[in-house]
Amino acid sequence: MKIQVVSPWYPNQYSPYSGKFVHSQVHALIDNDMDVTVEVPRHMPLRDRHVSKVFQDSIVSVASKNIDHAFPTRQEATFIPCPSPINSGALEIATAYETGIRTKRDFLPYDSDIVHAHLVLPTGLATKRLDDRPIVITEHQSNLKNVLSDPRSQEAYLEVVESADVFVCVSEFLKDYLIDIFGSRLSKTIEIIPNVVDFNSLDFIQRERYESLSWIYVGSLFQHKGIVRLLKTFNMYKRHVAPRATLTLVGTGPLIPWVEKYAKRKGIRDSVFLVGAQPHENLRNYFSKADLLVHLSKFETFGIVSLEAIASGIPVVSFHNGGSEDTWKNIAGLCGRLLDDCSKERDIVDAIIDLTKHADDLDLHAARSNIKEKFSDYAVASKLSTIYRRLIS
Amino acid sequence: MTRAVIISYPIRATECSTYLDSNAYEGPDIILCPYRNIFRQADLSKSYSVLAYRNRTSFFLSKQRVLTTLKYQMKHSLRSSLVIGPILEKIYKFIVPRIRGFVIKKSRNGSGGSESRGSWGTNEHLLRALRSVHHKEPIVKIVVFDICDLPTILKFAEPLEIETLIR
Repeated sequence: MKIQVVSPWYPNQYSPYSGKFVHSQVHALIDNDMDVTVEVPRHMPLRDRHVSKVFQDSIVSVASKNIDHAFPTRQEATFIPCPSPINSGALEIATAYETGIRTKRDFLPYDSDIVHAHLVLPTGLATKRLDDRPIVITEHQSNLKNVLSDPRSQEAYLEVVESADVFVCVSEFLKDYLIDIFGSRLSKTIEIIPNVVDFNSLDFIQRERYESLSWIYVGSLFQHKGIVRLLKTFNMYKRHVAPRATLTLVGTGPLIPWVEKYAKRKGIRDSVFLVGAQPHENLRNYFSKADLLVHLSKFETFGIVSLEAIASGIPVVSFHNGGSEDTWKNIAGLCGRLLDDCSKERDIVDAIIDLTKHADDLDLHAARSNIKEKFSDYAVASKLSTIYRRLIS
Repeated sequence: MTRAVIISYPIRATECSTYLDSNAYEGPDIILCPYRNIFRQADLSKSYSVLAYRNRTSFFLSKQRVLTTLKYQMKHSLRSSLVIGPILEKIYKFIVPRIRGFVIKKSRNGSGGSESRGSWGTNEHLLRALRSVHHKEPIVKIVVFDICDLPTILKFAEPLEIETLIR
C-alpha cells in the first residue's frame, strides 16, 4: 500500500527537532511494510502583501536545472518551498502550500493509494484542493485556538473536515474541543489515533531518589506554554525550598530574552540553563540528568513531552491541559502530579514538595509500561493500517 | 571559489547556522544578510564571514521595514510581559485591522484600483553586494534561505551560471 503523507513539520538535517512525532508515525508505517513518502511544504515569508508569480517562476527555474536544488529529498521526505506574505493566516498559507505542492508534483510526480495530511489548516485544505484520492487528515496542532479564532478559517476548517474521507484527532480532549466549537454543524465521525511515543530512543533510568532538584522543560518558549509561570515557580522553589535546584530549558522561542532578563534580575541566572532546541536523539541525555519535568501549558492537544519524560523514568508536574486527561491522568499517582490550570506558584511548589515527600509511592516503571501499551509505534501503526485498509477496500 | 549563503529573516538564522556547520565547504563561506543582528539569537560560528548589505540609513529609508520592525517589537514586548500583554494585544488586534481596512478602502477609492498588486522589485542592495563579492572572489555556489530574494539572486546567478540551491 502506498501512502503519501503531507506534513508542514518533519525533521531534516538543519531543523532536526521539527515534527518528530510525524516522523515516528511514518517510520512505524514503514516498519509495517507500507510504502510511505512525505511532502513537507515549508512556509517562506515574503515582504509583499501579495504573492507575485515571479517567486514561483524563480523556484521553477531553480528546479528545472536541478530538482534537488529546489525540492531537496532526504530519505522519504521532500521539502517544498512555499512563498507567502509575511503575516499570512492559515488560509493564505494553505494557498501557498497548494501552489508549492502542485509545482513540486510537476517535477516529482507521486503515485499513492491514500493521502494522509497532518493538520486540517493549512495542510488539509491544500491537499483537498489538489487530490481526488482518499484523504485522511490528522489534527494535532496546539495552536488550534488561534487558528479557529478567525471566522473565515473556522468555516474553511469545517468544510475540510466534512470532505475528508477519515478525520483523526490525537486525543478525546481535542475531539470534544472541536465538537464544542462546531456543535451540530460537525457531522463527521472523528476517529482517535494518538501520537507515537518513540520508546526506542528513550532509555528508562531507574532513579535512586526523586529529589526534584534538576527540573527540565522541553518545548517552545512561548507565553502560552506557561514559561512565565514556570520561571516564577522555579524562583520560588529555589529561594524557599531547594537552593541547589536547577532548571534546564530545552527549546527555543521569543521568550528567550525575557527568561535571561528574569533569571538575571532574580539572581538565578547560574541555575537556569537555556540549551536551545535539540535533536530528539539528544533528549535522552537531558532526561538522564533531570529528575522532574515541569510543564505548565494550559492547552495541549496531546502533550507528548510529558509521556516522553515518563517513559524515561522522570516524574511530571503538569496542569490539566487537555492532552494529559487522555494520556496519563489515570496513572498520575504513579508518575507525578496533575494540577488545576489556575494553580498559583505557591500551589505548584506545594505539589512538588508533596511529590518529593511521597516519592516512594511513585512507580515510573509501571507508568512506562502502561503508556507503552497505548502509544508505542506498533500500537499506532496497527490502528492506522486498519483505517487505510478500510479506505481502500 | 566562494559559497554565498543568503538569508533575509531571523526566523531561519538557527537553521542557516546548523546548515553551514553540517555542510562543510572547502572554500570560503560568506553570509549575506540585510542586518547583522539577524543572527542575534543564533549560535553562528565566528569562522563564517557575515556581510550586512544594508546600513542603518537605508533601514530608516524603508517605511515598510520600519513599520514591520516596530510591529514585531511591539508584539514581542507584549508577549513577553506578564499580565497586561495579552490584553493589550487583543485590543491591538481588534483595532488595527479595522483602521487598516478603512485606510486600504480609502486608498483604493483614491487610486481607482490596485495596480501594484503582484509587483516585485529587485533588491538592489543585495545585487550590489553579490556583484562586489563576486568581483573580489568568484562565487560558485549560492544557498538561499528565503524566497523573497530569490528573483534578485537569479538575476545575478543565471547569466553567470552559478549553481543556486534553495534550503
